[in-house]
Amino acid sequence: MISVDRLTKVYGSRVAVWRLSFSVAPGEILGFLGPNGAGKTTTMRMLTGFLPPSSGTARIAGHDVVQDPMAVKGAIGYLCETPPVYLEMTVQSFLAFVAAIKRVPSPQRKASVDRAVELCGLAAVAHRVIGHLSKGYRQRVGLAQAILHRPKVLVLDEPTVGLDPRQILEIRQLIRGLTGEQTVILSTHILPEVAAVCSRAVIIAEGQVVAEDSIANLTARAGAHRVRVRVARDAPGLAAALAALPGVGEVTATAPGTYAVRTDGDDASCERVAALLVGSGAGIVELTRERASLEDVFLDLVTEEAGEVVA
Amino acid sequence: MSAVWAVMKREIQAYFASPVAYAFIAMFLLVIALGFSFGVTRYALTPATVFEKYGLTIRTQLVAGSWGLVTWGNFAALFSLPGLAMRLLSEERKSGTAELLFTSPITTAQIVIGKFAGSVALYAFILILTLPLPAFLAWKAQPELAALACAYAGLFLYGSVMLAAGVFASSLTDNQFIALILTYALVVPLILLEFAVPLVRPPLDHVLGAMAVGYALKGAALGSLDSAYLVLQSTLIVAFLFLAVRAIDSPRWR
Repeated sequence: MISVDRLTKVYGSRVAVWRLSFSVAPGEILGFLGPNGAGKTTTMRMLTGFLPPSSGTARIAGHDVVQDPMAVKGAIGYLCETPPVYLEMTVQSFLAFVAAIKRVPSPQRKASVDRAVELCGLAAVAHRVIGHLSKGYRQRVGLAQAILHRPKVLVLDEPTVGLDPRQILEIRQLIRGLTGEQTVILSTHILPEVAAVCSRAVIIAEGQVVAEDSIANLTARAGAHRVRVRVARDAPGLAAALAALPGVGEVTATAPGTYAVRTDGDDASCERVAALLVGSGAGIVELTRERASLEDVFLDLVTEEAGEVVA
Repeated sequence: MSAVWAVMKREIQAYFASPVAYAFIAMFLLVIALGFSFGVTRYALTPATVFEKYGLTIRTQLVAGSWGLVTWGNFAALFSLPGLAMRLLSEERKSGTAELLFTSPITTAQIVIGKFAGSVALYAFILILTLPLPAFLAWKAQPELAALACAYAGLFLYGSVMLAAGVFASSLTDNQFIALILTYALVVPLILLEFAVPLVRPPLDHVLGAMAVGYALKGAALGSLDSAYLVLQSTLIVAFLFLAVRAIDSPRWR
Protein backbone atom coordinates (compact mmCIF):
# COMPACT_ATOMS: atom_id res chain seq x y z
CA MET A 1 0.00 0.00 0.00
CA ILE A 2 2.91 2.28 0.81
CA SER A 3 6.35 1.68 -0.60
CA VAL A 4 9.19 4.06 0.01
CA ASP A 5 12.41 3.66 -1.91
CA ARG A 6 15.58 5.58 -1.06
CA LEU A 7 13.60 8.69 -0.19
CA THR A 8 15.90 11.63 0.51
CA LYS A 9 15.36 15.21 1.57
CA VAL A 10 18.23 17.63 1.75
CA TYR A 11 17.91 21.26 2.81
CA GLY A 12 20.96 23.07 1.55
CA SER A 13 23.79 21.22 3.24
CA ARG A 14 21.59 19.71 5.95
CA VAL A 15 20.33 16.18 5.44
CA ALA A 16 16.87 15.68 6.90
CA VAL A 17 16.08 12.25 5.47
CA TRP A 18 18.67 10.01 3.84
CA ARG A 19 17.84 7.07 1.54
CA LEU A 20 14.86 5.93 3.56
CA SER A 21 13.25 2.71 2.38
CA PHE A 22 10.40 0.76 3.90
CA SER A 23 6.99 -0.56 2.95
CA VAL A 24 3.61 -1.02 4.54
CA ALA A 25 1.14 -3.77 3.64
CA PRO A 26 -2.59 -3.03 3.19
CA GLY A 27 -4.47 -2.88 6.48
CA GLU A 28 -1.32 -2.68 8.54
CA ILE A 29 -0.69 -0.12 11.28
CA LEU A 30 2.92 0.90 11.10
CA GLY A 31 4.65 2.73 13.91
CA PHE A 32 7.14 5.27 12.71
CA LEU A 33 9.48 5.83 15.61
CA GLY A 34 12.32 8.15 16.19
CA PRO A 35 13.65 10.77 18.52
CA ASN A 36 12.68 14.39 17.93
CA GLY A 37 14.37 15.76 14.85
CA ALA A 38 14.96 12.33 13.31
CA GLY A 39 13.08 13.27 10.13
CA LYS A 40 9.66 11.80 10.92
CA THR A 41 7.65 14.88 9.98
CA THR A 42 9.74 15.51 6.86
CA THR A 43 9.12 11.93 5.72
CA MET A 44 5.38 12.22 6.30
CA ARG A 45 5.26 15.51 4.44
CA MET A 46 6.96 13.87 1.48
CA LEU A 47 4.54 10.93 1.59
CA THR A 48 1.54 13.27 1.58
CA GLY A 49 2.83 15.40 -1.28
CA PHE A 50 3.31 18.49 0.86
CA LEU A 51 7.08 18.47 0.35
CA PRO A 52 8.82 17.37 -2.82
CA PRO A 53 11.57 14.81 -2.12
CA SER A 54 15.13 15.67 -3.18
CA SER A 55 15.51 12.18 -4.61
CA GLY A 56 14.07 8.70 -4.31
CA THR A 57 10.48 7.64 -4.78
CA ALA A 58 7.44 6.90 -2.69
CA ARG A 59 4.32 5.17 -3.95
CA ILE A 60 1.01 5.29 -2.17
CA ALA A 61 -1.83 3.00 -3.27
CA GLY A 62 0.11 2.48 -6.48
CA HIS A 63 0.60 6.17 -7.29
CA ASP A 64 3.92 7.97 -7.30
CA VAL A 65 3.93 11.02 -5.02
CA VAL A 66 5.89 13.13 -7.49
CA GLN A 67 4.39 11.99 -10.78
CA ASP A 68 0.78 11.67 -9.73
CA PRO A 69 0.29 13.91 -6.69
CA MET A 70 -3.45 14.39 -7.18
CA ALA A 71 -4.14 10.63 -7.04
CA VAL A 72 -1.95 10.32 -3.95
CA LYS A 73 -3.65 13.24 -2.25
CA GLY A 74 -7.03 11.69 -2.98
CA ALA A 75 -5.97 8.41 -1.38
CA ILE A 76 -4.57 9.78 1.87
CA GLY A 77 -5.86 11.37 5.03
CA TYR A 78 -3.24 13.37 6.87
CA LEU A 79 -3.19 14.64 10.42
CA CYS A 80 -0.16 16.86 10.86
CA GLU A 81 1.49 17.74 14.12
CA THR A 82 -0.65 20.79 14.85
CA PRO A 83 -4.21 19.92 13.84
CA PRO A 84 -4.89 21.82 10.61
CA VAL A 85 -8.13 23.49 11.63
CA TYR A 86 -9.60 26.92 11.00
CA LEU A 87 -10.20 28.28 14.47
CA GLU A 88 -13.01 30.62 13.44
CA MET A 89 -15.16 27.86 11.92
CA THR A 90 -17.58 25.54 13.65
CA VAL A 91 -16.74 21.83 13.68
CA GLN A 92 -19.61 21.06 11.32
CA SER A 93 -18.82 23.76 8.76
CA PHE A 94 -15.11 22.96 8.86
CA LEU A 95 -15.76 19.28 8.14
CA ALA A 96 -18.18 20.22 5.35
CA PHE A 97 -15.41 22.35 3.83
CA VAL A 98 -12.95 19.47 4.10
CA ALA A 99 -15.46 17.13 2.44
CA ALA A 100 -15.64 19.55 -0.49
CA ILE A 101 -11.89 19.95 -0.97
CA LYS A 102 -11.33 16.18 -0.54
CA ARG A 103 -13.72 15.75 -3.47
CA VAL A 104 -16.37 13.77 -1.64
CA PRO A 105 -19.31 13.74 -4.11
CA SER A 106 -21.84 16.28 -2.87
CA PRO A 107 -24.74 13.87 -2.22
CA GLN A 108 -22.48 11.92 0.18
CA ARG A 109 -20.96 14.88 1.96
CA LYS A 110 -23.43 15.14 4.77
CA ALA A 111 -23.22 11.42 5.53
CA SER A 112 -19.40 11.56 5.52
CA VAL A 113 -19.36 14.48 7.92
CA ASP A 114 -21.86 12.75 10.21
CA ARG A 115 -19.82 9.56 10.20
CA ALA A 116 -16.59 11.41 11.09
CA VAL A 117 -18.36 13.37 13.84
CA GLU A 118 -19.75 10.13 15.23
CA LEU A 119 -16.47 8.17 15.03
CA CYS A 120 -14.44 10.92 16.67
CA GLY A 121 -16.99 11.61 19.41
CA LEU A 122 -17.64 15.17 18.29
CA ALA A 123 -21.44 15.15 18.37
CA ALA A 124 -21.60 17.29 21.51
CA VAL A 125 -19.46 20.05 20.02
CA ALA A 126 -20.48 19.84 16.35
CA HIS A 127 -21.92 23.35 16.34
CA ARG A 128 -19.24 25.01 18.41
CA VAL A 129 -16.44 27.20 17.09
CA ILE A 130 -13.18 25.20 16.93
CA GLY A 131 -11.17 28.04 18.53
CA HIS A 132 -13.27 27.65 21.69
CA LEU A 133 -12.59 23.91 22.04
CA SER A 134 -9.98 22.24 24.22
CA LYS A 135 -6.80 20.84 22.74
CA GLY A 136 -8.16 17.31 22.97
CA TYR A 137 -11.23 18.20 20.96
CA ARG A 138 -9.18 20.08 18.39
CA GLN A 139 -7.06 16.98 17.96
CA ARG A 140 -10.20 14.94 17.40
CA VAL A 141 -11.39 17.45 14.82
CA GLY A 142 -8.00 17.01 13.17
CA LEU A 143 -8.49 13.26 13.15
CA ALA A 144 -12.05 13.66 11.85
CA GLN A 145 -10.81 15.67 8.85
CA ALA A 146 -8.22 12.96 8.14
CA ILE A 147 -10.69 10.04 8.10
CA LEU A 148 -13.65 11.95 6.63
CA HIS A 149 -13.27 10.81 3.01
CA ARG A 150 -12.43 7.19 3.96
CA PRO A 151 -8.88 7.40 2.61
CA LYS A 152 -7.05 4.17 1.86
CA VAL A 153 -4.02 5.42 3.74
CA LEU A 154 -4.00 7.39 6.95
CA VAL A 155 -0.88 9.34 7.86
CA LEU A 156 -0.84 10.48 11.48
CA ASP A 157 1.95 12.67 12.79
CA GLU A 158 2.16 12.44 16.58
CA PRO A 159 -1.61 12.12 17.01
CA THR A 160 -1.60 12.00 20.81
CA VAL A 161 0.93 14.67 21.62
CA GLY A 162 -0.24 17.08 24.30
CA LEU A 163 -3.34 15.13 25.28
CA ASP A 164 -4.28 13.94 28.75
CA PRO A 165 -4.05 10.20 29.50
CA ARG A 166 -7.76 9.57 29.04
CA GLN A 167 -7.80 11.36 25.68
CA ILE A 168 -4.72 9.42 24.61
CA LEU A 169 -6.53 6.15 25.33
CA GLU A 170 -9.55 7.31 23.36
CA ILE A 171 -7.51 8.36 20.34
CA ARG A 172 -5.61 5.05 20.40
CA GLN A 173 -8.86 3.12 20.57
CA LEU A 174 -10.11 5.10 17.63
CA ILE A 175 -7.01 4.31 15.59
CA ARG A 176 -7.19 0.63 16.51
CA GLY A 177 -10.84 0.67 15.49
CA LEU A 178 -9.82 1.60 11.95
CA THR A 179 -7.72 -1.55 11.53
CA GLY A 180 -8.51 -3.55 8.46
CA GLU A 181 -10.31 -0.74 6.76
CA GLN A 182 -7.30 1.49 6.40
CA THR A 183 -3.55 1.34 6.21
CA VAL A 184 -2.13 3.56 8.89
CA ILE A 185 1.28 5.05 9.38
CA LEU A 186 1.68 6.64 12.76
CA SER A 187 4.67 8.63 13.84
CA THR A 188 5.54 9.06 17.46
CA HIS A 189 8.38 9.27 19.90
CA ILE A 190 6.23 7.72 22.61
CA LEU A 191 7.11 4.03 22.66
CA PRO A 192 4.19 2.50 24.54
CA GLU A 193 2.00 4.02 21.88
CA VAL A 194 3.60 1.85 19.24
CA ALA A 195 3.34 -1.24 21.42
CA ALA A 196 -0.32 -0.43 22.10
CA VAL A 197 -1.44 0.32 18.57
CA CYS A 198 0.96 -0.90 15.92
CA SER A 199 1.74 -4.31 14.50
CA ARG A 200 5.08 -3.31 13.08
CA ALA A 201 7.55 -0.50 13.56
CA VAL A 202 10.18 1.35 11.61
CA ILE A 203 12.73 3.07 13.80
CA ILE A 204 14.62 5.97 12.33
CA ALA A 205 17.41 8.13 13.65
CA GLU A 206 19.07 11.03 11.90
CA GLY A 207 17.02 10.48 8.77
CA GLN A 208 17.91 6.80 8.31
CA VAL A 209 16.18 3.53 9.10
CA VAL A 210 17.90 1.75 11.97
CA ALA A 211 15.37 -1.07 12.36
CA GLU A 212 12.24 -2.34 10.68
CA ASP A 213 10.40 -5.31 12.15
CA SER A 214 7.37 -6.54 14.06
CA ILE A 215 7.06 -5.34 17.65
CA ALA A 216 7.65 -8.89 18.95
CA ASN A 217 10.80 -9.37 16.89
CA LEU A 218 12.12 -5.98 17.82
CA THR A 219 11.82 -6.74 21.52
CA ALA A 220 13.33 -10.18 21.02
CA ARG A 221 16.19 -8.56 19.18
CA ALA A 222 17.21 -6.78 22.34
CA GLY A 223 18.57 -10.27 23.12
CA ALA A 224 19.01 -11.46 26.68
CA HIS A 225 16.15 -11.23 29.08
CA ARG A 226 16.57 -9.95 32.58
CA VAL A 227 15.53 -11.38 35.91
CA ARG A 228 15.12 -9.06 38.84
CA VAL A 229 16.07 -10.59 42.16
CA ARG A 230 15.60 -9.22 45.64
CA VAL A 231 16.75 -11.11 48.71
CA ALA A 232 16.17 -10.57 52.43
CA ARG A 233 19.75 -11.29 53.56
CA ASP A 234 22.37 -10.14 51.12
CA ALA A 235 25.62 -12.06 51.31
CA PRO A 236 28.97 -11.17 49.71
CA GLY A 237 29.72 -13.48 46.86
CA LEU A 238 26.06 -13.98 45.95
CA ALA A 239 26.46 -11.96 42.77
CA ALA A 240 29.50 -13.96 41.75
CA ALA A 241 27.70 -17.24 42.48
CA LEU A 242 24.76 -16.17 40.31
CA ALA A 243 27.02 -15.08 37.49
CA ALA A 244 28.73 -18.45 37.52
CA LEU A 245 25.49 -20.30 36.71
CA PRO A 246 25.09 -21.66 33.16
CA GLY A 247 22.86 -19.44 31.00
CA VAL A 248 23.41 -16.44 33.19
CA GLY A 249 25.31 -13.43 31.98
CA GLU A 250 26.14 -10.25 33.74
CA VAL A 251 24.84 -9.64 37.28
CA THR A 252 24.57 -6.09 38.53
CA ALA A 253 23.51 -4.86 41.95
CA THR A 254 20.91 -2.16 41.46
CA ALA A 255 20.24 -1.60 45.20
CA PRO A 256 21.32 -3.35 48.41
CA GLY A 257 19.96 -6.89 48.15
CA THR A 258 18.65 -6.32 44.64
CA TYR A 259 20.26 -7.65 41.47
CA ALA A 260 19.54 -7.43 37.80
CA VAL A 261 20.50 -10.80 36.33
CA ARG A 262 20.88 -11.13 32.59
CA THR A 263 19.86 -14.56 31.33
CA ASP A 264 19.57 -16.21 27.95
CA GLY A 265 15.79 -16.14 28.38
CA ASP A 266 15.54 -19.88 28.87
CA ASP A 267 13.15 -21.13 31.59
CA ALA A 268 15.85 -23.51 32.87
CA SER A 269 18.27 -20.68 33.54
CA CYS A 270 15.59 -18.89 35.50
CA GLU A 271 14.97 -22.04 37.50
CA ARG A 272 18.68 -22.40 38.29
CA VAL A 273 18.74 -18.82 39.61
CA ALA A 274 15.80 -19.58 41.91
CA ALA A 275 17.35 -22.87 43.09
CA LEU A 276 20.66 -21.20 43.90
CA LEU A 277 18.95 -18.47 45.90
CA VAL A 278 16.87 -20.95 47.86
CA GLY A 279 19.92 -23.12 48.53
CA SER A 280 22.02 -20.16 49.74
CA GLY A 281 19.41 -19.30 52.37
CA ALA A 282 19.40 -15.65 51.34
CA GLY A 283 15.60 -15.66 51.38
CA ILE A 284 13.89 -14.72 48.13
CA VAL A 285 11.65 -11.72 48.49
CA GLU A 286 11.14 -11.10 44.80
CA LEU A 287 11.95 -12.88 41.58
CA THR A 288 10.62 -11.13 38.49
CA ARG A 289 11.27 -11.93 34.89
CA GLU A 290 11.60 -8.73 32.89
CA ARG A 291 11.31 -8.65 29.14
CA ALA A 292 13.28 -6.05 27.26
CA SER A 293 10.89 -3.22 26.55
CA LEU A 294 10.69 -1.29 23.35
CA GLU A 295 12.50 1.47 25.22
CA ASP A 296 15.57 -0.74 25.53
CA VAL A 297 15.47 -1.58 21.85
CA PHE A 298 15.01 2.00 20.92
CA LEU A 299 17.77 3.34 23.13
CA ASP A 300 20.07 0.53 22.05
CA LEU A 301 19.52 1.18 18.37
CA VAL A 302 19.56 4.94 18.55
CA THR A 303 22.65 5.23 20.71
CA GLU A 304 24.38 2.53 18.69
CA GLU A 305 23.67 4.53 15.58
CA ALA A 306 24.88 7.76 17.16
CA GLY A 307 28.08 5.98 18.24
CA GLU A 308 28.70 4.73 14.72
CA VAL A 309 28.20 8.17 13.29
CA VAL A 310 30.74 9.64 15.69
CA ALA A 311 33.19 6.86 14.90
CA MET B 1 -14.90 23.98 -9.97
CA SER B 2 -16.61 22.86 -6.78
CA ALA B 3 -13.23 23.01 -5.02
CA VAL B 4 -12.75 26.65 -6.09
CA TRP B 5 -16.26 27.37 -4.90
CA ALA B 6 -15.58 25.69 -1.52
CA VAL B 7 -12.38 27.69 -0.99
CA MET B 8 -14.14 30.91 -1.98
CA LYS B 9 -17.10 30.27 0.30
CA ARG B 10 -14.82 29.50 3.23
CA GLU B 11 -12.87 32.66 2.58
CA ILE B 12 -16.02 34.78 2.72
CA GLN B 13 -17.10 33.07 5.95
CA ALA B 14 -13.65 33.77 7.39
CA TYR B 15 -13.97 37.46 6.56
CA PHE B 16 -17.22 37.75 8.42
CA ALA B 17 -15.80 35.88 11.40
CA SER B 18 -12.91 38.31 11.77
CA PRO B 19 -13.06 41.71 13.48
CA VAL B 20 -10.10 42.87 11.40
CA ALA B 21 -12.10 42.46 8.21
CA TYR B 22 -14.97 44.48 9.68
CA ALA B 23 -12.50 47.24 10.53
CA PHE B 24 -11.27 47.42 6.93
CA ILE B 25 -14.82 47.33 5.58
CA ALA B 26 -15.78 50.15 7.94
CA MET B 27 -12.74 52.12 6.85
CA PHE B 28 -13.69 51.77 3.19
CA LEU B 29 -17.26 52.91 3.82
CA LEU B 30 -16.17 55.78 6.06
CA VAL B 31 -13.69 57.19 3.55
CA ILE B 32 -16.06 57.00 0.61
CA ALA B 33 -19.10 58.29 2.53
CA LEU B 34 -17.30 61.22 4.19
CA GLY B 35 -15.57 62.16 0.94
CA PHE B 36 -18.82 61.99 -0.97
CA SER B 37 -20.68 64.10 1.63
CA PHE B 38 -17.91 66.64 1.40
CA GLY B 39 -18.22 66.64 -2.40
CA VAL B 40 -22.00 67.02 -2.33
CA THR B 41 -21.70 69.94 0.09
CA ARG B 42 -19.16 71.70 -2.14
CA TYR B 43 -21.36 70.99 -5.15
CA ALA B 44 -24.46 72.37 -3.44
CA LEU B 45 -22.64 75.53 -2.36
CA THR B 46 -21.34 76.26 -5.87
CA PRO B 47 -23.52 78.85 -7.67
CA ALA B 48 -25.33 77.60 -10.77
CA THR B 49 -23.69 80.27 -12.94
CA VAL B 50 -20.27 78.68 -12.36
CA PHE B 51 -21.58 75.34 -13.65
CA GLU B 52 -22.87 76.95 -16.83
CA LYS B 53 -19.73 78.99 -17.40
CA TYR B 54 -17.34 75.98 -17.15
CA GLY B 55 -19.67 73.27 -18.44
CA LEU B 56 -19.64 71.32 -15.19
CA THR B 57 -22.10 68.51 -14.59
CA ILE B 58 -22.87 65.95 -11.91
CA ARG B 59 -20.78 63.53 -13.93
CA THR B 60 -17.65 65.68 -14.01
CA GLN B 61 -17.96 66.83 -10.42
CA LEU B 62 -19.70 64.24 -8.28
CA VAL B 63 -18.78 61.00 -10.06
CA ALA B 64 -15.34 61.85 -11.41
CA GLY B 65 -13.44 64.97 -10.43
CA SER B 66 -11.54 65.71 -7.27
CA TRP B 67 -14.62 65.56 -5.04
CA GLY B 68 -16.23 62.69 -6.91
CA LEU B 69 -17.43 59.28 -5.84
CA VAL B 70 -14.77 57.47 -7.88
CA THR B 71 -11.93 59.56 -6.48
CA TRP B 72 -12.97 58.75 -2.95
CA GLY B 73 -13.63 55.14 -3.87
CA ASN B 74 -10.09 55.03 -5.23
CA PHE B 75 -8.74 56.30 -1.90
CA ALA B 76 -10.91 53.95 0.11
CA ALA B 77 -9.73 50.99 -1.94
CA LEU B 78 -6.10 51.95 -1.49
CA PHE B 79 -6.56 52.15 2.28
CA SER B 80 -8.56 49.00 2.85
CA LEU B 81 -8.12 46.39 0.10
CA PRO B 82 -4.47 45.50 0.78
CA GLY B 83 -5.55 44.95 4.37
CA LEU B 84 -8.25 42.56 3.23
CA ALA B 85 -5.88 40.58 1.01
CA MET B 86 -2.88 40.32 3.32
CA ARG B 87 -4.07 37.30 5.28
CA LEU B 88 -5.28 35.21 2.35
CA LEU B 89 -2.27 32.91 2.02
CA SER B 90 0.13 34.00 4.75
CA GLU B 91 -2.33 33.02 7.47
CA GLU B 92 -2.66 29.50 6.06
CA ARG B 93 1.04 29.07 6.37
CA LYS B 94 1.22 30.48 9.86
CA SER B 95 -1.66 28.44 11.29
CA GLY B 96 -0.63 25.16 9.67
CA THR B 97 -3.81 24.84 7.61
CA ALA B 98 -1.62 25.10 4.51
CA GLU B 99 -0.79 21.45 5.19
CA LEU B 100 -4.47 20.56 4.88
CA LEU B 101 -4.95 22.53 1.65
CA PHE B 102 -1.80 21.33 -0.06
CA THR B 103 -2.33 17.67 0.86
CA SER B 104 -5.89 17.71 -0.49
CA PRO B 105 -6.70 16.70 -4.05
CA ILE B 106 -7.03 20.25 -5.33
CA THR B 107 -4.48 22.20 -7.34
CA THR B 108 -2.59 25.27 -6.20
CA ALA B 109 -4.31 27.28 -8.94
CA GLN B 110 -7.72 26.27 -7.58
CA ILE B 111 -6.72 27.42 -4.11
CA VAL B 112 -5.32 30.73 -5.33
CA ILE B 113 -8.31 31.44 -7.59
CA GLY B 114 -10.74 30.49 -4.83
CA LYS B 115 -9.08 32.83 -2.40
CA PHE B 116 -8.90 35.68 -4.91
CA ALA B 117 -12.56 35.14 -5.81
CA GLY B 118 -13.48 35.21 -2.13
CA SER B 119 -11.82 38.58 -1.62
CA VAL B 120 -13.32 39.96 -4.84
CA ALA B 121 -16.76 38.81 -3.71
CA LEU B 122 -16.26 40.68 -0.44
CA TYR B 123 -15.16 43.76 -2.37
CA ALA B 124 -18.28 43.52 -4.54
CA PHE B 125 -20.31 43.33 -1.34
CA ILE B 126 -18.60 46.49 -0.06
CA LEU B 127 -19.38 48.27 -3.34
CA ILE B 128 -23.03 47.23 -2.95
CA LEU B 129 -22.98 48.79 0.52
CA THR B 130 -21.93 52.11 -1.07
CA LEU B 131 -24.96 52.13 -3.40
CA PRO B 132 -26.96 54.47 -1.12
CA LEU B 133 -24.55 57.21 -2.20
CA PRO B 134 -25.44 57.16 -5.93
CA ALA B 135 -29.03 56.40 -4.90
CA PHE B 136 -28.97 59.69 -3.00
CA LEU B 137 -27.73 61.41 -6.16
CA ALA B 138 -30.51 59.85 -8.19
CA TRP B 139 -33.04 60.95 -5.60
CA LYS B 140 -31.89 64.58 -5.42
CA ALA B 141 -30.67 65.08 -8.99
CA GLN B 142 -30.58 63.47 -12.42
CA PRO B 143 -27.19 61.76 -12.80
CA GLU B 144 -26.52 59.74 -15.97
CA LEU B 145 -27.06 56.21 -14.71
CA ALA B 146 -25.01 54.59 -17.49
CA ALA B 147 -22.00 56.72 -16.55
CA LEU B 148 -22.48 55.78 -12.91
CA ALA B 149 -22.56 52.09 -13.80
CA CYS B 150 -19.40 52.58 -15.83
CA ALA B 151 -17.74 54.26 -12.86
CA TYR B 152 -18.64 51.32 -10.62
CA ALA B 153 -17.28 48.85 -13.17
CA GLY B 154 -14.04 50.85 -13.21
CA LEU B 155 -13.82 50.80 -9.40
CA PHE B 156 -14.49 47.07 -9.35
CA LEU B 157 -11.70 46.31 -11.82
CA TYR B 158 -9.30 48.70 -10.08
CA GLY B 159 -9.92 47.00 -6.73
CA SER B 160 -9.60 43.54 -8.26
CA VAL B 161 -6.10 44.35 -9.53
CA MET B 162 -5.18 45.50 -6.04
CA LEU B 163 -6.57 42.30 -4.51
CA ALA B 164 -4.66 40.15 -7.02
CA ALA B 165 -1.47 42.00 -6.07
CA GLY B 166 -2.38 41.33 -2.44
CA VAL B 167 -2.81 37.59 -3.12
CA PHE B 168 0.64 37.48 -4.69
CA ALA B 169 2.22 39.44 -1.82
CA SER B 170 0.49 37.14 0.66
CA SER B 171 1.92 34.09 -1.09
CA LEU B 172 5.45 35.33 -0.48
CA THR B 173 5.50 35.50 3.31
CA ASP B 174 3.83 34.05 6.38
CA ASN B 175 3.82 37.50 7.99
CA GLN B 176 0.63 39.44 7.27
CA PHE B 177 2.22 42.80 7.94
CA ILE B 178 5.02 42.17 5.47
CA ALA B 179 2.39 41.02 2.98
CA LEU B 180 0.60 44.34 3.47
CA ILE B 181 3.76 46.38 2.87
CA LEU B 182 4.59 44.24 -0.17
CA THR B 183 1.13 44.87 -1.62
CA TYR B 184 1.72 48.61 -1.44
CA ALA B 185 5.16 48.12 -2.92
CA LEU B 186 3.51 46.39 -5.89
CA VAL B 187 0.50 48.64 -6.29
CA VAL B 188 1.91 52.12 -5.70
CA PRO B 189 4.36 51.97 -8.65
CA LEU B 190 1.46 50.82 -10.84
CA ILE B 191 -0.49 53.88 -9.73
CA LEU B 192 2.47 56.22 -10.19
CA LEU B 193 2.88 54.90 -13.73
CA GLU B 194 0.22 57.40 -14.74
CA PHE B 195 2.69 60.27 -14.24
CA ALA B 196 4.90 58.70 -16.88
CA VAL B 197 2.10 58.79 -19.46
CA PRO B 198 2.66 62.44 -20.63
CA LEU B 199 6.39 61.80 -20.85
CA VAL B 200 6.34 59.13 -23.57
CA ARG B 201 5.31 59.14 -27.23
CA PRO B 202 2.29 57.39 -28.64
CA PRO B 203 1.50 54.54 -28.79
CA LEU B 204 3.51 53.85 -25.65
CA ASP B 205 1.55 56.41 -23.65
CA HIS B 206 -1.63 54.51 -24.41
CA VAL B 207 -0.09 51.26 -23.13
CA LEU B 208 1.27 52.90 -19.98
CA GLY B 209 -2.05 54.62 -19.38
CA ALA B 210 -3.87 51.32 -19.64
CA MET B 211 -1.44 49.63 -17.28
CA ALA B 212 -1.50 52.39 -14.68
CA VAL B 213 -4.12 51.26 -12.21
CA GLY B 214 -6.27 54.24 -11.39
CA TYR B 215 -5.44 56.26 -14.51
CA ALA B 216 -8.04 54.75 -16.76
CA LEU B 217 -10.34 54.69 -13.75
CA LYS B 218 -10.68 58.43 -14.30
CA GLY B 219 -11.83 57.79 -17.84
CA ALA B 220 -14.25 55.18 -16.57
CA ALA B 221 -15.59 57.70 -14.09
CA LEU B 222 -16.41 60.00 -16.98
CA GLY B 223 -18.28 57.17 -18.63
CA SER B 224 -15.77 55.70 -21.08
CA LEU B 225 -14.33 52.28 -20.36
CA ASP B 226 -11.37 51.80 -22.69
CA SER B 227 -11.09 48.21 -23.99
CA ALA B 228 -7.28 48.38 -23.84
CA TYR B 229 -7.65 49.21 -20.16
CA LEU B 230 -9.94 46.24 -19.60
CA VAL B 231 -7.53 43.89 -21.35
CA LEU B 232 -4.36 45.12 -19.65
CA GLN B 233 -5.85 45.27 -16.18
CA SER B 234 -7.23 41.75 -16.58
CA THR B 235 -3.79 40.67 -17.72
CA LEU B 236 -2.31 42.18 -14.57
CA ILE B 237 -4.76 40.17 -12.46
CA VAL B 238 -3.89 36.94 -14.26
CA ALA B 239 -0.18 37.71 -13.96
CA PHE B 240 -0.36 38.31 -10.21
CA LEU B 241 -2.36 35.13 -9.64
CA PHE B 242 0.03 33.14 -11.83
CA LEU B 243 3.00 34.48 -9.86
CA ALA B 244 1.24 33.51 -6.62
CA VAL B 245 0.80 29.93 -7.88
CA ARG B 246 4.44 29.78 -8.93
CA ALA B 247 5.58 31.17 -5.59
CA ILE B 248 3.60 28.54 -3.69
CA ASP B 249 4.72 25.68 -5.91
CA SER B 250 8.36 26.60 -5.58
CA PRO B 251 10.21 24.29 -3.17
CA ARG B 252 11.22 27.22 -0.99
CA TRP B 253 7.66 27.88 0.07
CA ARG B 254 7.22 24.91 2.42
